[in-house]
Amino acid sequence: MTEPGNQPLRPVTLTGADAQALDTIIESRTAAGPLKLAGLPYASNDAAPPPPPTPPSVLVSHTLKLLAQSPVAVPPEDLAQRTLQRVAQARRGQRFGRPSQAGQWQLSSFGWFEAAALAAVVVIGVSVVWPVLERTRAAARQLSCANNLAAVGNAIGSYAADFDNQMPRGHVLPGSVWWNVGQTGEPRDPVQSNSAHLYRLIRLGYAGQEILSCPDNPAAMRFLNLEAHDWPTPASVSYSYQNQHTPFAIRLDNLDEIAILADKNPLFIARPGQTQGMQFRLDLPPTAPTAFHSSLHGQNILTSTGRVLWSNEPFGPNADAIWVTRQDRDYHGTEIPTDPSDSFLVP
Amino acid sequence: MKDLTSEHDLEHLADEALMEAYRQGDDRAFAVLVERYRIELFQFLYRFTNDAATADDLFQEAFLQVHLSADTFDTSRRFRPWLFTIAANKARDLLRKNNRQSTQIAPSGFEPDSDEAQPVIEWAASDTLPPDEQLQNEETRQLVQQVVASLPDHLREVLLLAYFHQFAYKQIAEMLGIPLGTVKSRLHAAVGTFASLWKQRWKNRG
Repeated sequence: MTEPGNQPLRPVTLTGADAQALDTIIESRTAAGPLKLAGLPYASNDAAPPPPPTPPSVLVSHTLKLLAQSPVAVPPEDLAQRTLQRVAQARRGQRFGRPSQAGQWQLSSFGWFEAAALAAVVVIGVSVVWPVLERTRAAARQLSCANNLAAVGNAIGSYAADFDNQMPRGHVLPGSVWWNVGQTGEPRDPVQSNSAHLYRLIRLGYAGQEILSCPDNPAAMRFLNLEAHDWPTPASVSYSYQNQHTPFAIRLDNLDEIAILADKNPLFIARPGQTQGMQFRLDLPPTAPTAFHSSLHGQNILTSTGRVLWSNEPFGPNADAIWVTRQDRDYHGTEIPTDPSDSFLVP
Repeated sequence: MKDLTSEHDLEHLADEALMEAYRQGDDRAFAVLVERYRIELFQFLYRFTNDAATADDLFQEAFLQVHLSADTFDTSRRFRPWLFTIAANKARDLLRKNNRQSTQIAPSGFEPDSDEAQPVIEWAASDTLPPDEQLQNEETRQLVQQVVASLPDHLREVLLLAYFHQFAYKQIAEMLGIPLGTVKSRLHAAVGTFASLWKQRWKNRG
């Protein structure tokens, strides 16, 4: 911690008389028991303590008057609800961790012959109806993702309402890398992964991990990791989020309608054999469809107004290619949107 | 146990009785505790970390820890200091880690009751208290917040617990695992440092 001018802060203490006056005040207040907090703790003008036996010093009385002006931050209305959801999730996780006996199948009375016959029937049946079902199933998975994006849109809206209209965003160092998916650490560590910004919705209880998992993503996270700050690997990320490594937080209330979330960007993939960074696919066009829902050739998009749509074309006020910035042709993991209307959705 | 007590009755139970009810399987008791401390604990964490989103996260982590440690809670002791101890530990760990990573290194090793001589602050009656009409304005409030936030973490922690949340010195000593004398000297240093910083910043404000 430093003071302006880069002088290290040197704590100072009180004179004996000031220290005694302060002790008298503090002890007389705490002897009377904790304050009855009426809505807001220690609001500015209820700071007056019971009169101490000796008059406080100028310094102590001035300082306590000033401290009583410390602003009051009101917690989000739904904080208790989200906390209870998080505890409930932890409780479910604890239950999953225990070996279950009730769910174990008893196979002893079911012989190999019966099992083989059943398998044959299933294989024949599936092979007959598979082509018919596949298109329906693909459409159902696409619709499931569209529903997920709508739910994430609500979660982002709730987050923005609680945090000054800002989109979910962690602590960003200017010019830092955003493609190191799998970040560990603390909530306020500098973020090196764009997906870690989105993960705040899970961590702070605005969204469950299930609505951020695409049914077409075989590596999607199935269980919530309460200690995590990001998806564990690039492959486990299902959706791509507007790049948040901009110099200033992006506010939803002064944003044109642009794409802010979509099915996964197909142009950035994990580097084979490496745990850090990603590879940009120069072999694909900037408008390539997501690899999920591949048979349908397009992607679900969530816009900044909360609208969800299916698209296979550039989107937004400038007919934006949502997977890339407007100006970059090759990527090293530090590129950011060209301006606030430039969608740049990345893992 | 689950249906023996109505919601209304639960709200009138002491914290420790609610913890006992929760341990017996009544989830509603836990919900009452979370709501009961929603404002006060969030305030503490917000002032400690100076960031609403971090306070939000730490609040949830603190109650998650309460849930995980419920079986070890001694219901013959007070719940509130236990809760604040958990929350303070989590906030302190986070700040310590951030300070290590920050380019601005926090002062280390300062302990007000150490042998090192500390400068002592004195104020004249005319020193930099805003006039009454300015005392409650937004500029003053923001400046107070900035000065509190710039105190060293271990001093701010004691200031918050002793002044804003009115824990007794003895309770704070138990919560932080430090001698009673250290609690007092940290509070004296917190107030002295606040006054010193305030003087500088009030005079230098734009």
